[in-house]
Parts: sequence; C-alpha cells; structure tokens
Amino acid sequence: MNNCNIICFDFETGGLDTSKCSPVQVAAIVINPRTLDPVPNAVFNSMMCPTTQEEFDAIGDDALAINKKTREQIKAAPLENLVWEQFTRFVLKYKTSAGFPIPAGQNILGYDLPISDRLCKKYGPWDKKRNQQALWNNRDSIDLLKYVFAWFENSNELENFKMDTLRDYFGLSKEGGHDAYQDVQDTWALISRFLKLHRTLTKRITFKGACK
Amino acid sequence: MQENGRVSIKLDIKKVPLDCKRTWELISSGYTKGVFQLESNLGKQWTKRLKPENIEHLTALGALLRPGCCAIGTKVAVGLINRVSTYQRNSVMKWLPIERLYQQAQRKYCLYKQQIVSLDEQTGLFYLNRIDNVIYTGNKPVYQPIINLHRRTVNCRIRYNLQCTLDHPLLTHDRGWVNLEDLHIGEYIAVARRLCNSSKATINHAGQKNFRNICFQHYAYHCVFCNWHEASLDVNHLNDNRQKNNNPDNLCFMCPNHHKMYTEGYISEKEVVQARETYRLQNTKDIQWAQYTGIEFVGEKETYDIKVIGPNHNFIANNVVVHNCLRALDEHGVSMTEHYCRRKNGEEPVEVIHQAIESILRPTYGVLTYQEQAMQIAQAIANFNLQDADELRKAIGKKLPEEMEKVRVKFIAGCEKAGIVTAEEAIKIFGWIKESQRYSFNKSHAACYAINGYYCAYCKAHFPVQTYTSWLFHSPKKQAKKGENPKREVRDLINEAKLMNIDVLPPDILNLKPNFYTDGKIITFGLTDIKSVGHSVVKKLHELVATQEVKHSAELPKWTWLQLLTRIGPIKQETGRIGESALANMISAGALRHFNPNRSKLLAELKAWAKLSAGEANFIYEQADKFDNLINAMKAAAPLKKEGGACHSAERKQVVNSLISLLENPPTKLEDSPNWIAGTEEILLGIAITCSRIDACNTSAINATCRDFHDGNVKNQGSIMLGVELQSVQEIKTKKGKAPGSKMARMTITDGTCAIDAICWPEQYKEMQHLLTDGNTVIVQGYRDKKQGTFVVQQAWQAEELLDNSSD
Repeated sequence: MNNCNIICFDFETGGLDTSKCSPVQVAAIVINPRTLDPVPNAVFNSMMCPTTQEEFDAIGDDALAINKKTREQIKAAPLENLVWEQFTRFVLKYKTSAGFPIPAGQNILGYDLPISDRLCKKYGPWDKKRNQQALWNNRDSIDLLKYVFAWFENSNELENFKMDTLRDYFGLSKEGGHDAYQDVQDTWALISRFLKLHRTLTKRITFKGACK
Repeated sequence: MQENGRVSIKLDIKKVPLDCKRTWELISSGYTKGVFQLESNLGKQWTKRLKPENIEHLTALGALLRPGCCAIGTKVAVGLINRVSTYQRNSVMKWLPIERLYQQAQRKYCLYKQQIVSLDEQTGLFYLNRIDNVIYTGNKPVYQPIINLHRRTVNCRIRYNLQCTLDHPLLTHDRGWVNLEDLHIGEYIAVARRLCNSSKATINHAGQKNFRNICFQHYAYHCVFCNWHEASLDVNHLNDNRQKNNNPDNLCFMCPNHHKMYTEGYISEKEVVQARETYRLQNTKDIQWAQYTGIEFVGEKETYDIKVIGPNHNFIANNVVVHNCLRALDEHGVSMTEHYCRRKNGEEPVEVIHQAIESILRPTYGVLTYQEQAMQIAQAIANFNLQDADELRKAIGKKLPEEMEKVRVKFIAGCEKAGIVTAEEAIKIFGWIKESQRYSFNKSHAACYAINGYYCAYCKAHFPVQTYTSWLFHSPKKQAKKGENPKREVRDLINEAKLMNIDVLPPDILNLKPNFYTDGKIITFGLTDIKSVGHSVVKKLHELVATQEVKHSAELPKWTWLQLLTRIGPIKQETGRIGESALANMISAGALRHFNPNRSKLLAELKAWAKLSAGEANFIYEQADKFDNLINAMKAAAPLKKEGGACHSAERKQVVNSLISLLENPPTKLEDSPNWIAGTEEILLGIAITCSRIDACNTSAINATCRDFHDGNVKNQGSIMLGVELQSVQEIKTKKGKAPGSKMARMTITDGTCAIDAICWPEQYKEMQHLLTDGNTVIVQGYRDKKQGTFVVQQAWQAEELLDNSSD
C-alpha cells in the first residue's frame, strides 16, 4: 500500500529539447496518498529565469507563444538556480519514512522528469553513489499519459493524448491552459479520477491466482 | 540553587518515610521509568500487576523478578521460517544483535516471522523455536564469563564473548541451569559447536599434536581416578600411540601417578575405560562443553532478554546456550511472581503446604520467595541449628547436588525426630525447597534493591520536574554513546512527564542554556538537545552574543530578527559565526519563536541571507539598525557599489534581486502547518512539543482527548471518539482466540495531550489495516478494555485536513 506523498508538477519551458531547454516556470501541488486530495496550501508556483544569457537567448518565440510568457516577465523572474533550490526544498519537505515523493503529471516520463534529472545533476540533489537524482521516488511515478493510453488504446474516441485534447474530451475548461499551475491542477483532476476508479475496481476483482 | 540551569534539591534520605502513599501510587501506576530495578518493561508490567503497598511487597517483587539479561551487542542465533524445517547449522542460521530483535519487536516487524534457535535439553540438538517477546531490562552491570574450549593455555583458548548479568543461568554439564555467579571454576558450560574447530575436533589427526584438544572437548579435565586437574594433567593414549590413533576413544586424562600405575599394569584398560565414562562430556552434533575458568566485570550496559516458547526456554547467545530466565514456573506453567500477585490481590486463596510453616510464609502469601525462608523452615520443622541452616542455604545457592543430598538426608531425619510433620510431608516440603533454588533470592539483597527503588520513586513522586529534567539531561547521552537512538528515549520520557502534568517547552535561544533545564515547574529543552546543534555551536553562540551585546549596547532579548541574523548568522568566508544548518535547525525547533513565530518565514530569510556574499552581508550588518526587515535591507544592498549599494557586478545584482523577489513573492506559502511543525520537531527534538499532526485535521467528530481517556473523564464510555496521530503501530499475531495466528495491531496513539496505548483486534484490523500506519492521522472510535485499561479501536476513519491549517 502506498504511503508516499504524491507531488503533481509541471514545467513550462523555452523549447522542446529536454537536454537543453530552459524551464521558465515550475508549479507543483502535493497530494495526500490516502485520500487522493490536494494537501491544503501545499502549492509551489514560480517563474524562473535562465542563469546565463546564452540560455536566455535560446528561448524560442514559438514556445513563448504557447505558454504566453514574455521575455520581460522571464527576465524579471528569479534565477533558475535559486528557484530550483526552493523547489527541491519544497519537494523534500514531503519526504516521509515511507519514501521520497512520487512524481505525477502529464507525460512526465517523457518530458518533465528528464528536465528534472538534468537540473538535479546541475544544481542538486544528486546521488553520486548511484549516479541518479535524489529528489523523487526512484521506482514509482504516475503519468497521466500512460493511464489514458491504457484505457483508450483500443478506442478511437481520442484524437491524441495532448492535454488540450483531454481537456476538451473530459470537459475541463481550457482557460489558463499552458500555465504550469493550471496544467498541474487539471492533470491531477484527471489522474485522481483514474486512481479512484482503480481503487473501486480493485475491491471487485480477484487478482490472486488469476494465472493458475 | 541553580547549577548549570538545573535546580538541585537537597534531600535527607534518613528522613524519607517508607509509607508515603504518593510514592506507592506512583510505583503501582507503572510509571517506573528511572526507578531502580523497575525501569524495564518487565518492571513496569509487574508493578502494575502487583500494586505494591509497602517495602515487603517491593522486596518480594525484586526477589522473584530476577531475570538475567544479555548485554547490548549480544548476537543471538535465529533461523528463517521459510527455510528447511530442521535446524541446519550455518545454512539457515544467522546471528542477530539482541537489540535489533528488540527493535523489530517494537516496530511493525512481526515476531512470528523470526524464529530463534533453542536447545532441546532431552536430545541435545538444536531446533527452531518461537519467540514470545523481547524485553528491555534496563541498564545493569554485566560480566563476561571466560569460557575455554581448548586446553587451558592462553594460546589455545577461544573466548565466547557472552556478556550478561550475574544472575543469568547457563547450562552446566552436571548441575543443569546455574546462574553465572554460582558457577565453579572448571565447570563445563554448553556451547554451540563452531564449524571451524568442531570439524577438526572430530577428525582423527593421526600424527598431529591436537589430540590434547580432542580429549579436552570430549572429557572433563580431571584425572579419571583421582580428580586431579592441575596443569600437569596430561592426555594418555590407551592403545595405539599418537602417530596411529588420536580418536577420543583412545584418549583419557590421567595424573602422573595413575599414568605410571597404568603403564606398569596395576590398572587395567577396562578400569580406565569404565572410570573415563564418568567424565565423558555429553557432546552432540550441535553442542559441546567448554570449561568455565573465570569472570570479568565489563561495566554497565543496556540489557535485554528474550522470552521463548516452552518447553525449552533457552536460546543461543554468542555461541553459548543461555536460559531465557523466566523460570520460576509451577507445574501449570504459572510463574511464582504471578502466584504472588494473585494472592496479594485476593485473586487466589493463600495456600501453605503445612500449618507448621504458615507463619514463615505468611509475609509472602504462602510463596517461598527468599532463601532465608527455606532456612527458617528447616529450623522450625527439622530442628536445624544456624550452622545447618546455613549449609542448606549454601546448597540452595550454589546448587551442589552432593550438598543438597546431604542436607536432604539431614532434613528428613530432623523432621522425623522433631515429629512436627510426617515423613511424606517432610519429603514434599524438601522437594519444594529444592525447586525454589531455581528462583529464590536472599531477602537482604532484595531489600536493598527495594529501598533504592523506593527512594528513586519517592524523588519522582515528590520532585517530578527535577527528576525528569535530570533524566532528560543524562539518559539520552548514554543512549547515544551506545549507538542507540537518543531521541526515542527523549520521546518516552516526555510522554511520561506529560502524563504527570509536567509541561515541556521547546528550546529557547534567549536563555542560551545548552541542556534540559527547569525553573521548578516547567522543563525546557536545551539548545544542544536539538539535532545537529552541538556544544561547540552553543559555546560560539555565547561568545558571539556576549561580544555583540557589548558592541551594540543591547541585550539579546531586545534584538530584532534582522539584528540577530546579521550579528550571529553565517557570512561567507567568515569563521566564528553560527553555521547555516545549525541556525536552521534552531529555527525549525522553535528556538527563535520570540523573534517571529513563523518558522517558515525565518527559514526563508536565513536561506536568502546565506546566499549573500561577504561584502553584501557586511553592508547589511553595518546598517542593520536602519532597516526593519531583511527585504528592505537587501533592497538597499542590491544596487552596484558605484550606485551606493553592495553588489560588485551586474550578475550579483541579478542574484540579490532574485532573492528579494523570492522573499516578496514566495513560490510557496510561508506558513507553518501543524503537520510540518510536528514532523520537524519529531526529527529535531524527538517529540512534537508545540502541536500535533492531528491539529491540522477536522476533529469536530471527537468527544474526548487522549488525556480524558487516560484520566477516566470520558462521558460516553461505550463509544469514545478520539482524533489521534498513530505514533507507533506494531503488527502482531494472536496466539489464542477464535483464529490463532491472525494479525492484530498494538499502537501508541497521541493527540498532543498525552500518548496512550491502543489495540485493534483481528476482525477490525483486517478492515482498517490500510489506515493504521505509522504517522497517519485518524479519527478512531472505541472503548476502554476493562482488564488492561487500553483503548480498543473498533472503527477508524482517515482524518481530513482543514483547508486553512496555518498555525496561530
């Protein structure tokens, strides 16, 4: 039974290349693993400015068009390394004896976690012995994309699995989309429904000995 | 009188009355932490059971409750339940430190998963036995018996590093279970075979020189004819010489005289073989016999004991077979201590074996408890004089079979002559006395222990604040030295102090006291009691504060937070200041609450301050009096130097502006949730002092607190609703009931008022297992168990967190 806190997070970035792009915003909410409800007031949301001019110049206009941020806003934002330090402190505050927090989000396995790994290696926390990040739970993660795929892989109802498409399909408002904090809230609204569905079904299905 | 922050009390022991009701109530309540000889779980359990009312009761309890214990670090042989069913040495067995077994028993780890290796006393073979309980028996003087497996020379000696108390029974070859203090030099003790030397011992190393060791391991170190056991005793080959045959059957010990007689033909081989059998050690494939040659005092250590399931109440500790010590059992398996408690409390009729000795056993409710009572019985019905009675005492104490036999004959003859009891009754009474040798203790010794324990309890009852302060000051340090977690000791002591209505406050930087201290009413943490804040930090703090107070002509209580941060906070490349992590821990533990109760805000400002360069920090330090907060001070420092600021480059300016931005618009709310405060204090102080995790939750459904339950002030006894944090949850298996082997839980629950014990029976535990986990906050509904007085959980719900749970 999982007793690790779940943290749903999202980056808005200045590009699509996870090995190079600079995040311009990071947001996160903390979820109680037993109730699957957001922990009150446990929210992180901050813009961030790349630490070097090179990285700042590499921010693409097309990316800015999507996440509706301006270069002035980014320039005025706190530096990436300082925001990252506060973010890691926020995440590690929810580490318990059960383990590190479980990361959750939309397509985090393909996008946000590789960026997080890169930042961990650059600024910490980094486990030198195992050569891996020391911020998130290493074994578990909750990716909305995987859940949606599992339920809709045999269906044509969804055109694609992008967040905007999911918002449309499930009836969530598109207002505020591509703002990291709004994305995190919408993502969790969907993930929590899937998880509650799983919990309900688990009680009705006998898994033990199913392959005998 | 204040000494190092502690209030000392002068107490004249001679004037302490032994009939103080408050003291006896304290002892009977089971709050015996810090009370000599009764501090352990065993002591607590039995004082609650017995409810002693006078020194006699306490003396009897001390005499009956004589568990020998093993010192911390003792390795116990355990087996794994999923492996082969029969014991196989070195394949399924592993050695576990006894304190780790105790920790497993305290946490969720089920004891049923762990099996212990015991010796079947009938067959002499090991088997896997079940553990009933692992008991912490407190700090005691421990000794190390010197046990030799090889010939009695230093070079060949193998030491078995068993460290235990003097009253711990070891299995001897001739006398059965004998306490360590009663062992004779040269006596043989059962030890587990070691693969490294046992295989060599059984192989016939013809032509080798280890035939001496082979003989030593198979026969007692005596001449087979004359009991000679000095150094000149040598090994003799009966038939073939050492070059041909070194098997045990060809060897024996003989003194030089008898060896000469054998070689000259005065003694036949048959006679030697016959005589040798008396001294043959009953080795088996699992045990052999090693010689006890002395004892060494090791020191005072934490001790533990293991209670194993019968019929063989023993286990293997550091390769030595030891008893689990709770041996004072009658034929029904009920301990003498239990009989004493039942009779004292009127639960069982007081039965005395004969009217003639009723007056001797009346003070102990018919239970033969003391060695002195055995002496008095012998004097009363067998006309023993004082000398004879003393011989009886020695025979009982030293457990010498020959001496006991002599005394038995004398006793029965004396009884017949006196005519007070019949011959049959005399035999029965003597059998009873003989049985008592397993557990009886001398009253004078027990009385001393009882008086010492009473004095400790008296101090605790009349000066509880000072007693707890003293314990909090000393005990965690001892735990830390022994590698134990000192914070657990702090938690247990404070939990008990709360039950005695003693308030405990978090540390306070204004007082600058390094350790726990009291003003006579309240106990306050010291600064070094915060994790990672050491004496060097506190010393530096003293020096810094003293210097800065003189420099700025203002005492510490009058400083603002900004002044404190700039005057003692860390500055890069400057030594002599308090480090960031130490100051952060002090803030998180609440030591700076007088400057600002919002710990998250202080921490955020400390982190920002620590990021400033030395120049920027010193700029702010020199002008700290001009600003009311750090943000304004940093805004003044943000411009470049040429612009009147402190930054030496545009990059640094950007960094300082980022820091200001993060303080003005923090990415996360800088508010202290009760959850965070409680969790942080548990880590840094050992226990949540300011608030409990449950304070962050909706507790509108509750109708009582843990304190109400403890004090018995609950209105609706049938349905008590508590909002609690599960401080510890231990999953165990039931032994009796409808379905033995089902899982149930034993818990410690708290809501900040106090901590109480709770249980959840198997039927309910099955439904609520997912909620009953360490650290979880739940609303529980249940009732008080009439026998034990614990809270029985019938239902539990996850406590919902409040939307606005910022602390006051």
